[in-house]
Amino acid sequence: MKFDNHIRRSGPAMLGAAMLAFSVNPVSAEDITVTSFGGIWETAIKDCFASEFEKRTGSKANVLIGSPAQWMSQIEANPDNPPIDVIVTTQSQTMAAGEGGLISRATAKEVPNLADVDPIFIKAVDGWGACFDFGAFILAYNKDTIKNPPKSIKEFVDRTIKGDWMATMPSVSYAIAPDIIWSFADLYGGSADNVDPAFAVFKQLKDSGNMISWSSVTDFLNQMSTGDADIGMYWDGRAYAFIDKGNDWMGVIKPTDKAFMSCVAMNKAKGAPDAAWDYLNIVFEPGPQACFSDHLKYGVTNQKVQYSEEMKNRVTWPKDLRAPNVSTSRKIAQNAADWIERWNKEIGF
Amino acid sequence: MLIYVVLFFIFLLGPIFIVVSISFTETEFVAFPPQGFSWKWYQRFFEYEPFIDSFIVSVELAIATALLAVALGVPAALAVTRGRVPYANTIMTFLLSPLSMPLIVVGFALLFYLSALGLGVSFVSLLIAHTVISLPYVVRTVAGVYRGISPDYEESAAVLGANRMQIFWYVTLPMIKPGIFAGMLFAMLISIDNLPISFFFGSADTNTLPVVMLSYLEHQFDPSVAAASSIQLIVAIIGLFIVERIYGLDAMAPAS
Repeated sequence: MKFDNHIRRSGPAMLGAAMLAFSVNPVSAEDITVTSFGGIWETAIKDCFASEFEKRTGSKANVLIGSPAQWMSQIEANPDNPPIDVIVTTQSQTMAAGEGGLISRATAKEVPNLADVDPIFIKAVDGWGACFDFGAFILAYNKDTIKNPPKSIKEFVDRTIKGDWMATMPSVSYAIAPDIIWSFADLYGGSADNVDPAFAVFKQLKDSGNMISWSSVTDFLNQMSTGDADIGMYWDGRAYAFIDKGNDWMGVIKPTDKAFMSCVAMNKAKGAPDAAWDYLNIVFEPGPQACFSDHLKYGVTNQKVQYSEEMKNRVTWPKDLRAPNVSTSRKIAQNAADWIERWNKEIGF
Repeated sequence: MLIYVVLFFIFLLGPIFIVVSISFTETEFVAFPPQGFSWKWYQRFFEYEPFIDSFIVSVELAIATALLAVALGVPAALAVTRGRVPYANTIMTFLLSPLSMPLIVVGFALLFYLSALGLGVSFVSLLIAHTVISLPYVVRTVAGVYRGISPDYEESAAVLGANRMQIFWYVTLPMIKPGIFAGMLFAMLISIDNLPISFFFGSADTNTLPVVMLSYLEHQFDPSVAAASSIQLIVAIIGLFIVERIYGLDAMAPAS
């Protein structure tokens, strides 16, 4: 009975103490937690940035795999002691994280290598640090079935409607569908305030019966591999990575009327230790950036990067990219729900 | 009638068959039917460190979740089923309520709640969150079995002089074992397969396999995720086999 009483009195306290003991983060004060997507991304982050950070500082950079929504929630839930020190985010997420007080604004003072980043990639995230890599939405095609590929997006659209091939483009369920709607509007004389020209093109493509859609990056490769599609809009880095795996039947065209650009930023969580700045400075350094580009086949943002010969020919340079400015990005975010609803009603793929 | 049974099995087993067969493809992309035969995606699973690390976390978490859910769920089920607990039905509804809520909402709410308690993003938080969603399975199965047992056995033991602990240990526990095993098995399977809860509690040391698989799937196009799914399936089958050998699956049915 005495034992029962003892357990009853001290049990909750013991359980609480044990839980807190187990929940204490085992990393030392100098160690940091950085984030990455899975697969080749994680390999590149470890090989190019985390290992370099560990070599220079002697501290460990623990790499957490996941997605930005998860990381932002974790920082928001633990504002005084964020479990993440460096967060990877898309453009719109970066601005949302900045305005929500989740990240610290990085300048060349904290991250000296930001001084060499092309300003387009700083403006792309409204000055909340900068993007460190970027992808272009190029045209990837099957060289066996298309001998005379299009040179521009407008030619791609016209010849798809004409029936020269079966094409594929992202469906409305793909994350950046609103940005793609804007890029078509911009290409065909509209804007973020007037996307009618984009919808007119989409309707023609749909009515032609020569267009299917992909909803994930693996979908696209499956459609191309199985012959369901001959050509489509896709990310340049992913297309090159696929080609390098022995699929040399796939070709890439950088459209002459500019490819839509999307980029990925990296920022220090508010409340994270200063070691996170050191990590970010490595992320924006030419050498580690070139390493990252070689791994992922995407362009990187420091203008002093010496690309490998192969990547020099592959990267779609900023002058050939179509990217929304900050005010347009905000309009895209504001109108996204309406555009998706309109897409579902009028286009439906 | 037979045709319905066959269609039912095709509906259940078809997707599993496709995933397993894709895991043996020679191609660098997911395609069905698979082309050629290769073990390389299994090799990739074992070579890619985050797969292995998160797999170990998932198995440890599933076992710990099952044990904690039993430790909390069995007394709760016994008390609510036959104890003199006021508002027993209300408490039972509350215990089963995680079943009726979208898991992503539960995960999001628990992240903020446990963080406010100072537990942050940790294995303990992950364990508590998984136990919350596994508890209804243990409570439901144990309560179901316990309800089917006549109270005469416990009353006879009490009349013969057994104290409450002895009654539980020698009379009640042997009879509710099928429910406990069934609940544990459900708890383990729910935990090992969970994504929406684990998604919010992943840290560099506590990421689970489904979270890593999702991120991998979004950013790499090879079929190693099919191999990871097949390995998860094998673990579940081995678990069922062990339970069958030491206890017998038939015995776990409440009607037995």
